[in-house]
Amino acid sequence: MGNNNIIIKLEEISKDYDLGEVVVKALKKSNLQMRKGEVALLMGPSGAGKTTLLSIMGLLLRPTTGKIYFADKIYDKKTRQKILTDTRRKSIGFIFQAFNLVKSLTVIQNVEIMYKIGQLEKAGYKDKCKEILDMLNMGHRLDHLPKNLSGGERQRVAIARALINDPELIMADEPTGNLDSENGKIIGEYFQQIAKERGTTILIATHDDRLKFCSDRIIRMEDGNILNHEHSRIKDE
Amino acid sequence: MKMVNLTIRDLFHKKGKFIMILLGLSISIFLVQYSAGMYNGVLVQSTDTFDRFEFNMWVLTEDADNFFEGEPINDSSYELIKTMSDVDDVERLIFQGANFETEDYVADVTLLGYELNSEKIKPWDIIKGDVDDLEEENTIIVDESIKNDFPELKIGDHVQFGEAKMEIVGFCKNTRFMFNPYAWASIETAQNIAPFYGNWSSMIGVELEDDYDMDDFQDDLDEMYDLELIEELEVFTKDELKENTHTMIINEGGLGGAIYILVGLGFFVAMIIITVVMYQTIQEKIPEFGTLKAIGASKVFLNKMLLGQVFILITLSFIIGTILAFIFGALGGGAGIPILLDFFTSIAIYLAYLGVGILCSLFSVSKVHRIDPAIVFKG
Repeated sequence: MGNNNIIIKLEEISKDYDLGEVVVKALKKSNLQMRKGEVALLMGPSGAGKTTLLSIMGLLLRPTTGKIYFADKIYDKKTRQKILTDTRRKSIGFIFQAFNLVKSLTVIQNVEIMYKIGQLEKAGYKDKCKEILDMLNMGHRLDHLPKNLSGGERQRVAIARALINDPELIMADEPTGNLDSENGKIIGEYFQQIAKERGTTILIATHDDRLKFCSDRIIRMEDGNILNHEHSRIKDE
Repeated sequence: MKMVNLTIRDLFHKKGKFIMILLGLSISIFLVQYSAGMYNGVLVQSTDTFDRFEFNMWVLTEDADNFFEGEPINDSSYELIKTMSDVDDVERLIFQGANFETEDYVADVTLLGYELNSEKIKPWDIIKGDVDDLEEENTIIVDESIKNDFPELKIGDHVQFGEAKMEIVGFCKNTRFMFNPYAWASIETAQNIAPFYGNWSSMIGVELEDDYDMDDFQDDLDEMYDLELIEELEVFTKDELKENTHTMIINEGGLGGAIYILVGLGFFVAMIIITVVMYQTIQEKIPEFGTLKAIGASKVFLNKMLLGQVFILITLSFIIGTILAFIFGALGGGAGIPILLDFFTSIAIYLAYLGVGILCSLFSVSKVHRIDPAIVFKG
């Protein structure tokens, strides 16, 4: 990609949804790049294309046109599903508004599941899960089921799950949408800490202005276009 | 965390639902196991008496080809066969259904008339009385299961049996033909019970010299028939007769149809349960499966998880259903027919259920494959 500091680059990315009689242009030819360890907020009104952009950057959706440069590979509309799945598993963490934990699994099992999915169960993996949950202040609730946790706690488990494979990129969709302001702030602080200490790049789609404190940049979208990039907090200066 | 752990945890998460599914499948498997056990029991019991008799070859009238259908063979034919130089040993047997009556009640019994001095055909498991007492005319030894119909029956009692009055001189056990207890008697007594046939027997057991085979024997019987010395007779090996008897019971006795209906019903119930449960599970968990796909779960992982649940459900249900069938069988649920749970049949049933389970899950599995992982960002 030319610049070693760039972790992901979108080049002329667009996404059209063919609804039969009408084609919806959810994302118009857009370019974007993110640096290693950067935290960016993706903001804009509903229908602006945030979810589509997040899905394409998270390799959940193939673009109609354009290329994504990520993890030393190029992804486009022809990339096979298996390659997308493998890359997601190895290099991307996901955090959702509704937490999306597996209800039948305990806190630690919800994190361990990433090893099972990746068939990476090796010596010490349980310790690493505990370590991350400790870091997120969840070490005392390892054997609890999600239904017995508060919203903030659930989101911290989801963050642990997203982090356990040391991803280069984390995609977070309204991560504070179901949290009160105090827990929202805590989650924001964790994002800051993760980006700083681990060099993880984090893109957060949100309507929550309170998260600005933890971000380096705000990417605004409207009608399928990336409008501008505001710097909310300048790093490395 | 082992894969099986994830599968089991997911399965056991809703315990009430899990127990209901397990119960339904267990009843289905019980039904199939019990039916198969009864099927085996009927077939084995229909011919096991002849396994106890040491004749490997039997002569029947020409129009009969199984143990049930032997028409009366005149004693003159028996006497003639007895004189054949290449026939090593020969004995008559009367195998005939008859009524066992008291003043108030009638029961079906199977009469076994045999040569009292025989070493090859004799009653077994005598629990009361003495087999030598059968030398007295019009005496019988009867299976104790007759007491299901006549609880007060005891040695020394006289009962109307067929056309004659008989004295009971003993009881034996485990000697039944299907639902009917056996009544053992000498050939002569048995002929008194059914006097309308004259001096007769149902079948003749034979043992041939080593250098005289079955075909030669049949040729000689045909020749004697042509000379009008005997009625038309046919010789069978014991195994042929057993096979023919089983075929007759399955096809003409209605057993085959009844068993097939029960087994089909059992499998149908299982198919419905698995299809509905899997479909409902997938519907409930679309966001969860979407999440698993989003975070990188492969098709193989999801397949293992879903089919693993089917495997566990069927295995547990199989164990419970089989134990139930075993218990009901041991409690005499087959109305006198032993419920024989054969190992290989059981394994075949288990594999068939697994096959049905996997087949019925395929639609749900393919539905999971079609879930778009991008739904996780669509709220």
